[in-house]
Amino acid sequence: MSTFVLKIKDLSISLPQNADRKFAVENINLDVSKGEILCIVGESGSGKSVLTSAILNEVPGMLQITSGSIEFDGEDILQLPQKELNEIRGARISMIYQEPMAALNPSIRVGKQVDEVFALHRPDIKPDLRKNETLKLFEQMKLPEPERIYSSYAHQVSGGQCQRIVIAMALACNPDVLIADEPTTALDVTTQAEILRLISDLKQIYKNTIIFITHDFGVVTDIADRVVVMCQGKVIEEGLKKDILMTPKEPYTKLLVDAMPLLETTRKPDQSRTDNPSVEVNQLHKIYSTRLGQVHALNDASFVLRKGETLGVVGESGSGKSTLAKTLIRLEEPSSGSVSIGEEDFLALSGSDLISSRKKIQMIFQDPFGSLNPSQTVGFMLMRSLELQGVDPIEAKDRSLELLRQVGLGDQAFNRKPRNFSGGQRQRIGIARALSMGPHVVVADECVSALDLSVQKQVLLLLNQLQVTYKMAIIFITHDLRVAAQVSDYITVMEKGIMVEFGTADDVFNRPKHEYTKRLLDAAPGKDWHPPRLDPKEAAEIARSLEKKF
Amino acid sequence: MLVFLLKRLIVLFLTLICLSFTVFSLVTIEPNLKKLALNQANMRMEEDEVQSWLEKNGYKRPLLVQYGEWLGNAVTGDFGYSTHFRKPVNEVIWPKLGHTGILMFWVFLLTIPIALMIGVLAGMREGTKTDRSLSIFAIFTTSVPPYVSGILFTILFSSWLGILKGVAKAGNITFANFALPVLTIVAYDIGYIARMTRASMVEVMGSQYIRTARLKGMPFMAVVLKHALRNALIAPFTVIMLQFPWLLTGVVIVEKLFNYKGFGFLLVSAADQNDIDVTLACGVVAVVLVLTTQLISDIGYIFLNPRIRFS
Repeated sequence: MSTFVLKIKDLSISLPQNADRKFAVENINLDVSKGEILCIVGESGSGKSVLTSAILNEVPGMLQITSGSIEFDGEDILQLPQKELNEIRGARISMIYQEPMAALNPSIRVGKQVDEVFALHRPDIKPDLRKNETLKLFEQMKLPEPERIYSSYAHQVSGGQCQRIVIAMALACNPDVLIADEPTTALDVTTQAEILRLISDLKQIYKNTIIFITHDFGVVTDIADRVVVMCQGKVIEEGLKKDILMTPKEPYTKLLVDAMPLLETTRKPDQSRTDNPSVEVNQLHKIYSTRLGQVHALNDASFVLRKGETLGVVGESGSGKSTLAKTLIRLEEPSSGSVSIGEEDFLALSGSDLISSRKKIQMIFQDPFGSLNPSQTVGFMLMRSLELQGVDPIEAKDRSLELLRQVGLGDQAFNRKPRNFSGGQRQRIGIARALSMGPHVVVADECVSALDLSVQKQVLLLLNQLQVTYKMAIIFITHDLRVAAQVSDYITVMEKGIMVEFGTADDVFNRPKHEYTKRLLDAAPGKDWHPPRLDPKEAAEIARSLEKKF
Repeated sequence: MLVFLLKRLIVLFLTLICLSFTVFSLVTIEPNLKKLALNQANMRMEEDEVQSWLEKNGYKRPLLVQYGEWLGNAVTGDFGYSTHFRKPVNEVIWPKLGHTGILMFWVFLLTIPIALMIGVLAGMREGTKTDRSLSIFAIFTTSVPPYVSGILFTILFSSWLGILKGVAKAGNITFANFALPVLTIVAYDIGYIARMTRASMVEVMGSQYIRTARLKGMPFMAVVLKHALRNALIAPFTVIMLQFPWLLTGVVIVEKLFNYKGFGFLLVSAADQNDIDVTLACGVVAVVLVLTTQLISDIGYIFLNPRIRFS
């Protein structure tokens, strides 16, 4: 018997004709050994998801498998008739997904959806015993109150619980191969850590082979045996975890590992400064009234930030990070408290005073696609914000072009519309737009979380340079501790609307006081890994040579 | 649930009062009443005679008093007297409503299953030949308005082929004299509902939970029936419910066209003949129908969509 469970040979899948490249994946050769956890790592568009959906012979409609075979149990999955394919799906090869909530049918009780797997693949289990089996699985997934969960709908359980249900569904028939497509990306850090632990624990029991897709090297560190790096539809490098993580051979992998932010702080603020703060927030509260009662979304937030300093705001979803951002820029009115920008009491302003003062505090948004008006040119957007401040058109144009150069986009960007730019470039435009107002304070709400690692690194560097030039104070909101460590002078950790910890980045990371901070730090994936660093010159060199290649 | 129902019933009642009052105040404005007087008593009456006729028949009292009187009677089930038919309204309106009811019954019996079937078949595999041909058919039938298709059908089946009759006789229906009005409404309605169903089905088939079900190893048809159908029917269900009040007004054209003496026909002639009590009663019936179908639609929506049950 071979030690391989899956053997992918010369697999190519073509993209529709007008796509930016010909193949989604090209000439893939990959052997998956029995019982291993194989991590497939790659940035967005690398073809990793398409590859895994091909293993179940279910590629998205526009794509076509043009050549190759996927051997499983002596047969080519791609040649199997539908009926035999269905016998493999869900029983011998099963899958868990990136968005667990969306992966469950909203109008069928989740327990019934797990039952279905037994109904399809385990005729030996009598219909009235299926529920028992499902409940047993739920218990194994450490779901609280299995009975209650069984008869709940997907929207009634949390994201982490949904993922446990999906995992239960996938493991119901103890499959040979489990494909996990970014199963923790949509989850909070602490939930992510729990799910990763669950997957590892279950592997001890079920002995499945796991193909784990991720873009996060931290997750790779925690879970992988072997790693495959993909880029532009090709396998770039393949090897054991420690080799790929510590001594990558291919330039692309080197660059990718180098882009992984360290979990070490880089900045040390001067705590003895006495100059006037750029922004001072005092006892800021925001209470939302809902039908179910009041929600204290922001509870007693206070901090002071001076010119050129960055405050990292860290927390999980629902911790009040975004509420803080929204109330600071008065997108939502705070319930009580004060915000001063420079000398000015920002919350007391109204009417035209408020409008003219808004330029002092600007926001960089999370979604680079939704935050730019698709029907206007970049130049128009930048000039408009300058003209609103009374800059005359000729000067406004010069200033816009200068801003575009400063954010690393050429003059030709001026006349183009947002759709002509990639995510990273759009985020640069967003930054240019924010800076065009000449703000004292910039609020960056998860502004790099939608970006790939290498792009993220560039945007962070850019932000850093611009801060040196313009001396603005930055309030940097992120869920990613590594990013926070890289950019922050001070860090505050938020939980349930409360700033549970505030201190210099160094103190918070190395001497955390609050329990929750400790938990967060502990949950950070890959915390024991110290990714090797490239010399910046060498990194630039590699980046240039790769740009030519792709 | 009970609170919800009670609230909706109160809303229904209030809407009814407001609407009937609006209609009431509009049909009882002075010039209209004068016309009524001339019609009812004597075409050649002088102005003072008209005034005294109005006085005698109670039309000179304050509007609210008149409305109160009408409302009091209406609550007890007495909708007044038809000046055109010279019979109590109750004797006129219910039989006509019955005729329209029979028409609608057949329309729905044909439309709903056919439309849903077309929509689901077209939407479950987007972009295939089945989808395209069904979609084109649906667009075609919806884009021809009933007054055009009605005439076309009459020419085709009645004038040329001679197998069906172009006039429908209410109260004495046969296949030959009843098929054309039904067909005319069904043709238009099928396309409309089928297109809604298809759009909804396409959206559902593209969702991630359908992928989950497929990758569980479930056969395609089982995925469609067990996972897609129910979610795909949520949107069309509301549309189907909205078809009831729409049909009630829509039948006006078709009933007039085929001379089918139902509710729509009555409404038109009542407005024509200045038949105040009949017009009012028709309004009340329409409002009750609109609001009840809305209520049924809301309740059905709750049953189909568990997500809104707790909000």
